[in-house]
Formats: sequence, C-alpha cells, structure tokens
Amino acid sequence: MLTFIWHQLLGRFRGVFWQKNLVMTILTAMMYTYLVVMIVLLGFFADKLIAAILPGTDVVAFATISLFYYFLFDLIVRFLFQKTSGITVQHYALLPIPKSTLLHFPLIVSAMSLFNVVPIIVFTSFLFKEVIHSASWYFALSWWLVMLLMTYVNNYLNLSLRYTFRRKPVLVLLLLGLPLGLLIAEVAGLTAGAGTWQQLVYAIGYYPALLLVPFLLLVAAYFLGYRVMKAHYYDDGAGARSTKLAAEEKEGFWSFLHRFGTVGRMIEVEVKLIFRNTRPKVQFYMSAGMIAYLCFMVLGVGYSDLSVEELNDKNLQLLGFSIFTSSSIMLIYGQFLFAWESSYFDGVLAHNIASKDIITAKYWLLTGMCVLSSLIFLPAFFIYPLIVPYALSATIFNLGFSSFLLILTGTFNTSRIEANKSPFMNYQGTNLMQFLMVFLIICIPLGIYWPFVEAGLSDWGLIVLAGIGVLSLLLRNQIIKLFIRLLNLRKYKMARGFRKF
Amino acid sequence: MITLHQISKKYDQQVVLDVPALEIASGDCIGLVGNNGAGKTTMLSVILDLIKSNTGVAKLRGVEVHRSSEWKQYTGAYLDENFLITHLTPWEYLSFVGSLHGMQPAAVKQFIDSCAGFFEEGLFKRRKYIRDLSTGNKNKVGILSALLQKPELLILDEPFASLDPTSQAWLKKRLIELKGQKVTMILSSHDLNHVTEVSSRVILLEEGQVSKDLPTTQDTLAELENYFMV
Repeated sequence: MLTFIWHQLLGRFRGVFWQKNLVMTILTAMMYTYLVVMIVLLGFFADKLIAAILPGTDVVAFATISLFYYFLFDLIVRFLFQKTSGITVQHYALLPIPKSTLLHFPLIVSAMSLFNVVPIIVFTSFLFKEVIHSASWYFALSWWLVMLLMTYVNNYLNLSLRYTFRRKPVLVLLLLGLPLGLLIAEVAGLTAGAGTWQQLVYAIGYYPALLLVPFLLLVAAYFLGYRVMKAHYYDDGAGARSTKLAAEEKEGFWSFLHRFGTVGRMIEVEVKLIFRNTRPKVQFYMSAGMIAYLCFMVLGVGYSDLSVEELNDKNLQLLGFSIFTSSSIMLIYGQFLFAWESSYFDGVLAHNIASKDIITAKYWLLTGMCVLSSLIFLPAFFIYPLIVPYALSATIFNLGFSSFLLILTGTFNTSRIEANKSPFMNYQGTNLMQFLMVFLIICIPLGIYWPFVEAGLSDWGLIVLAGIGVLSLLLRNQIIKLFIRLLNLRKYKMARGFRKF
Repeated sequence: MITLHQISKKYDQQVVLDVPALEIASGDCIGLVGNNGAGKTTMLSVILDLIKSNTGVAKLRGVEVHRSSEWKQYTGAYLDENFLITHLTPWEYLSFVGSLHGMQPAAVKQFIDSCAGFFEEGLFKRRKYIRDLSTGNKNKVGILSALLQKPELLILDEPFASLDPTSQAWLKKRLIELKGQKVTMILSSHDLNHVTEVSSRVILLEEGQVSKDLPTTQDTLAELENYFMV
C-alpha cells in the first residue's frame, strides 16, 4: 500500500509541469505556502470573525452549529467538484496483487484530498485557538475528532455517490436532495437538526465513549465505498447514459446558436467544453462565485462603514474592483483561450473552419462571459449606486479592449491542457504569460485612469476608459482582421505546443 | 491535385522530411508506406497545413495551402485523435463537422445509416462522449468525419489500425469504391496488404525521403515485403 502511495506522489511531482519551469515551480511553492498560512489563519481567527458578526455569542457553540450546515453543504460541493476517477489502479491490475488491496488503495489515497486537508487544518487551528480554552482538554479533543471523522464520512459517502451516479443517476440525485432539503428546511426553521447536532457533539464531548457513533459512521461509509468500488471494478461504462438514438433526440439548449453559422457552432462546442470538462467547469463556477463573494466582502463588509465622501476618495480601488469583477469569468477562462482546445486544435485547423470564424467565436464567447460577470455584479448596483459609473465604465472597457487583449495573449500560449483533469493543484499549461495577462488586464485601465484621478478629473477618466471600450467595439472588424493574420502566423507554433504532453 | 516542391522539415537540426518534388494527379490513390519515423505523418501534416515546412511549398490544385483555406472545402482528413472533439458524442461531432460543409442533421443521419456495418449499432445511440470510446471506435468516428463531406481529396493516416476485421473489410470496400469515383486519396499504412489492395500507386518513405515511387501491380506486395525484410 505504501508503494502505491509513493507511486502516486511520484506521479504528481514528476509531472511535466514541475520539471519544465523552475520559475513557475518556485512561484507555485510560494503560492502553496501562502494558501496554507491563510487556511491556518482562517481557523485561528475564526473566533474573531464570529465575534465580529455576532458579538456576545458563544463562539464554540456558534461554530459547532455552523458546522452542521457546513457538512451538509460540503457533501453537495464534493459531489460536484471532488474528483474520484483520477485514482488509477489499472496499471497494477495485472500484477500479483490482491484485488482487495487494489480497491483499498484509492479509498486510502482519497483521504489526502484537499477537500479533507483544508477543513482539518482549519479545525485544528480553531481547536488550539478557541476550543481548548473553552472547556476541558478531552471535550476539545472529542470535538476535534468528531469534525475529523465527519469530514471523512463525507469523503467516503461522496465516493459511493459518484460511482453509483454512473448507473443510477436519479437515485443519487434524490439522495443528494436530502442534504439540500435539510439545509433549506433548517434555514427556513422547519427542522431543528442543527440544534440536535450541537447537543450530540457536546454530549460526545462530555461522554467520550459516544465517539463510537461517528467512528462507526466512518467505518460504515468506508465499507460502503469499498463495496461500491468492488461492484464497479469491471465497469467499462457500458450501459452508461444509454438512451434512444442520439440523432433523434431533441436539439440541446445551445442549439439556438446554430442560426449564427460556423461561429455559433464553434461557440456551442466551446460552451460544451466548459460544462463537460472538470477544470474549466470548476473554474467557471469558482470565478462566478468569486464575483458574488467579492461584492459581499468589499462592498458589504469592507466599505460598509464608509461615508459617500470617503468612498469618493477611493476611486482607484473602486475601479480596480469593478475591472476585476466584470472581467473575472472571461479572465479565468481566457487565460487559456486557445489552449483549452489543445486536444483537438489540429482538427480545428484541418476542418473547414475559417480563421475569421475561430477568432470571432472566441470574441463573442469572451464578451458573453463579460456580460455574465456584470449580471452577477448587477445586484450591487441597487445596493451601492455609487459603484454604477465605475462598473459601467469597467464593463464597456472590458467588452471592447480586454476581450481583444485576451485573444492577443491567448495566441502566445502554446502549452497543452488536458481539460478533463481536476483543477486542484493542477498547473498544467500555466506559465508566466498568465501572470502577465492578469497584470495587463488589471493595470492597463488603472494606468489610464490614475492620471485623471491625480488631476482631480476622475469622472473624465471613467469616460475615457468607456470611450476606449466603445472605440475598440467600433473597430471590432479591423481588429479581428489583424488577429486573423496573427493566428495564421502563430498557428503552427500553437499546434506544435498543444500536441506535446 | 497535389504538388510538393522543395519541401524539407527539420526538428533540432534533424531532417525528418526532404521531398524535392512530388506530384499527385487528380484521382490517384496513393499508398504511403514506411517504417516509424520515416516522415509519413509529417508529409500528411504539411499537405494539411498543420506543420510549416522549413523550405518549399505544398500546393493543392495549384494554390499554396498556407495562403488559402479553400482546399478545406473539398478535403476530408483524419490523422489521429487530435482531430476529435472528445467532449462531444459521436453524433454531436459528426453533426458539427457536417454543419461546416452545410449539411443538415438529416443528411448527416442519412450518411451514418449508409455506413452501417462499419460501426456497432450502439455507437450513435449511446450518449457517450468520444473520450470514453475505445481506440477503435474513436478511429471509426474520425474516419467517418473525413468521409462525411464526400471529399474530392481524402487523407487518412493509419486508417486500418485498431479496427476490427469487419470494419477493415468495410473500409477497404468503401475506399475501392471511392477510387472508382476518382477521389484522390493518400492512405498511410503499415499494413502492406491493405495498401496494395486499395492504392494505385505506392510511395515509400525512408528517413524523410521518397525511396520508391511505383504504380501498384501484382508484384508490388512482394516487392514491398522484400524491401522491409530484415
């Protein structure tokens, strides 16, 4: 078993990415360190956060109740995003190794998933900062163990759910409806599961023998996972999604794009790429979620106490925030604009698709993403009307200028991406170009706006930014023509890079 | 139909293709043979404008392939999995490729029905993404996409590889029919039997150079077998 785990680690650290680019490896290591520190700090200062939101509350009791909602939500999030099929045992299937060992391996390896490690770090730092000081050491230890065990219960339940989903999707969706229903019922005050959960956790804290309950739950979840995996050991996918003749099915939701000819068809293929491949799908949802989160954190928390005059002094911050939120989805996706298609880029070049259609499809896809970002951002308009001119200016600038900038930088990205790999700890295709791209998208508009702020003409700065966006939109056809020439020059290098694993 | 003039391609100072002159007339059916690394796929990629040669030009119907994409309208090609959009189902993919040539879904369906025998019935019935198909089935989807548009120039790299015997027989029959219809074809293959049965002319590549260029006769198979004998 240790050999398997060692091979798994070797596979990760001998990945093409790590050996290819020293600068990126160092930058990534720094990013990991930063993330770990942030996670530890989150747990460490959770008490301050809770005290700030609800002054005078029993912090441990509040955290315990919140964790009830967390575990329900966690199961749904894991089902959507935690990948299980990346664990491969096929290479070992012909070696003289008992089948049971082969089946335990992915179960054990899944324990190292980030979905488990991150919450455990948070629980542990919260344990030392708060829980251990609020009651006896054995209460604190029991509290921590309950959270640890429940994290792994979710881990193995998710594994069973994901494997079962392949054959019985309706059953799994119904099962997933349970935590979702319970979550809604709790929020609506129809049930009192959170209170019962808190009493149970506290009871375990005072009577540690009751720890047997979550422990047995974990054992049951583990062996359920084992049984499900055993049942799917020979799963070749036969029978999966077997339906009527595909050709006779109704046209899909995106078929309205067909009326736009090849450009529409290309956009449809790319939208399907986003929603049918793990990495772009997760990144899409995360970037959409990030906009809502930033709106809440910056406008709801950060600026909530500031007067209108004080806010007016923060022009650059407000513009930077607006630029980032309105470009978030297209920026996260657009950083690998052409690379997402690396597995079929040769096909794109060899089929009857004009370069103009390739560029135009990319352009409309990016602008669609920009509009979507702004729609998510829209509620903030009504709550903080002050942001409206910044958001409008940023959106028009991004629609006209940043979308083309992404196409330009996209043609210089020649690293292959396997879109169906998990996005977590996956830096395939990442290089310095991405950092440059983000830097340019954020800094160019700020650089244009800054002199106007200094001159006390910030409103004019916003007008100029919007003007640049409108001008780019008006010159769209000319810019597209330039990019067609660029693509025709760069396509051989891009195709060669995309073929390399 | 196809002209290669002074074509050479180097990777890291190593010449992988060096073809001073090659003409392929309209209606020719070329069997392209050679050992691994002989330059077969590179030659096909140059013709399809996927690789830019260091020197020389590739022309289709007298037009340099990198100057105009008009050739894509009459060319059907499948080299490898890099041609397949693997997050689509086989039906979605063929429907997409068909749309690029102005084909309606009904016409694509009619084409698929006309190819029954090449693939198992379930291939277009199951909603299975191409990435989840076996290598053989992926190959079949790729070959069908190349045949779909009724091409005047057909380029296939190792079309018989990974195909089951029934599909091989079907494909061979279809290729012979296309030869009868004067479709220009280049088929690269390691299977000398198939190549000599289908092609009207055999081009043998060795270390990037054309070492033999001969019309297919009854003796060609023996000659090739003799050539490749260790």
